[in-house]
Amino acid sequence: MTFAEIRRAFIRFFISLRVTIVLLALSIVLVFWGTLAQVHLGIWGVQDKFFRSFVVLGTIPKTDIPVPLFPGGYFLGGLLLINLVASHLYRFRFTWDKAGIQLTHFGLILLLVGELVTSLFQEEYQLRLDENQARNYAESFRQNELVIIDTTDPEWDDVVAIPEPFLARRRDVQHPALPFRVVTRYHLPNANLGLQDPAAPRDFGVPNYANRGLGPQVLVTPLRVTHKENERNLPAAYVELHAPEGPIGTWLVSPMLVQPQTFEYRGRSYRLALRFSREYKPFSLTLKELRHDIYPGSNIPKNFSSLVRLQSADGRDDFEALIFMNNPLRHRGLTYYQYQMDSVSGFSVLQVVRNPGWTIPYIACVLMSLGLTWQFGRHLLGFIARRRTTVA
Amino acid sequence: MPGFLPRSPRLLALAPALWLAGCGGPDVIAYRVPKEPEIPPELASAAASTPEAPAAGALVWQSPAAWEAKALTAMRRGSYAIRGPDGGEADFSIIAFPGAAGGLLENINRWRQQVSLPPFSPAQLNEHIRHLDVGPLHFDLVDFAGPLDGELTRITGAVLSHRGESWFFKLMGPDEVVRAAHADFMGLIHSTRPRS
Repeated sequence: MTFAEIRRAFIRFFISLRVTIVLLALSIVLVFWGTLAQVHLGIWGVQDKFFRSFVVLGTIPKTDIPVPLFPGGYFLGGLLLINLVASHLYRFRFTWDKAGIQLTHFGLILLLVGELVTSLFQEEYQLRLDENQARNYAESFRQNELVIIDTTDPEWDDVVAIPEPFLARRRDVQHPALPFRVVTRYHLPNANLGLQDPAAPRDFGVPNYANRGLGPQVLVTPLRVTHKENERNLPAAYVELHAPEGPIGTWLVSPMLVQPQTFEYRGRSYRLALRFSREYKPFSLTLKELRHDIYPGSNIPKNFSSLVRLQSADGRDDFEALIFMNNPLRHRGLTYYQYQMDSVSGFSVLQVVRNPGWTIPYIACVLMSLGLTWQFGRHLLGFIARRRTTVA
Repeated sequence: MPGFLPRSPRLLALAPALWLAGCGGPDVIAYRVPKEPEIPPELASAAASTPEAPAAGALVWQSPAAWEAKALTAMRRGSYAIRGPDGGEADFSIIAFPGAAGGLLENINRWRQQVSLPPFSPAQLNEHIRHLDVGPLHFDLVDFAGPLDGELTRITGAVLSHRGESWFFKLMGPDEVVRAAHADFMGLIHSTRPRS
């Protein structure tokens, strides 16, 4: 087969209307299946498994061996995108009669591109601030990371952040910034922690590998992984640090353990923790004041607002902003929304979102509306004109 | 469906390549950040090396003058020794733990086990427990004594859920020492309030 033949085979395949129909049919099945699966997996689980994947994976019953079940959203969406673009390039020719259809298709292409941009580049974090507290980072809603922090320097912390999937897959980590290897002995995606009673039998909970830090005093019990929108999994792991001369120790880590776990190695001080993944920014927010107003004589909330001060590290920005419902703070591509608040305890939680493609769906819808209006309008006018001719 | 599939199956080799291109997640990263200007309260309490630290995390309290503060550990937010007139000594500890820490029933039964008492059923716990509101804080109070190594040992305790943590205030020691310290214990409970 020559290169020209391969090229023609590609083109023939990707401009095929049959491919379009098959892909649309498969997409309908995928959406239907994903909608049903949302009952058990929740919105995030369904998005990851069905729509933001190339293949929908299942497992062989009673094993963890993955098997492909169905093409995923990226696969179908990607092929549809190629199919649409290729068809326009090779099949369609511009005429005013078909301009509406082409504009509608262009809107559809934009819609697909917009979803891709959103899934690849959208960031969504939360920022919890106590009153008068300043923070230059936001925390992930769903992702966690193991951090090993060299705290020896009096002014700086040197952080090595290991995403939780490394722990889940029990992948050893030997990072140049660390003089030891990080080995995961045990990982639970969701767990509850309780106080360990030395006298109690250990017939529930998981084996306690910890010999350093808080772990020996803590009982870890597995919990079912949750996919609910208003809940998050709190993982736990036993992490062993291996130096060239032998193991340093094994620690229990979990986002529930807020107390610091520290140790010394070769004259340097370290802290380790499993925490919500952080995203540092070159500016900080300080919560100056929070307000929770209610309608007089009732407990019905009238207004939640957070007065924050934004200061950039380079000193260029220093201003105050009031964030309240439908009045977010927008700064350097990030949008800060009022998310949660506890005025009694004095803290506010902001939702931090970056979505560089947020305007694309609006533009796509406008283009599709214009295209359909043009197409139907042109047909309608033609029909009316023909009718007049007939009547006359 | 003739003509639907590409003629060369070699073209299908692109599919796994496309799939693999989408694989891969976040990687291990290293970075340097300035130390946080303010130590979170939970860290401050556990990091405090001086036993007289009055504020420990999200709560503050007034400890009785006669109680002798002891060194804190990673788990203890408050730790005191109470000496009786006859040389007996009771221990008072304040421990905070994230989440429900196993639940109220399990923890009260853990305390009962420590003084050789049988566990409560949920109904028995409901009958035994007393409730106390101190400002915005709600305490569950228990008090029982059991034979421990041939000596009557009493536990007077309070359990509180606050800002996602379970707090355990436990006074444990010889029966007469704990009874004598009961008023001081309640005074400490009444003085407890959220950190402002």
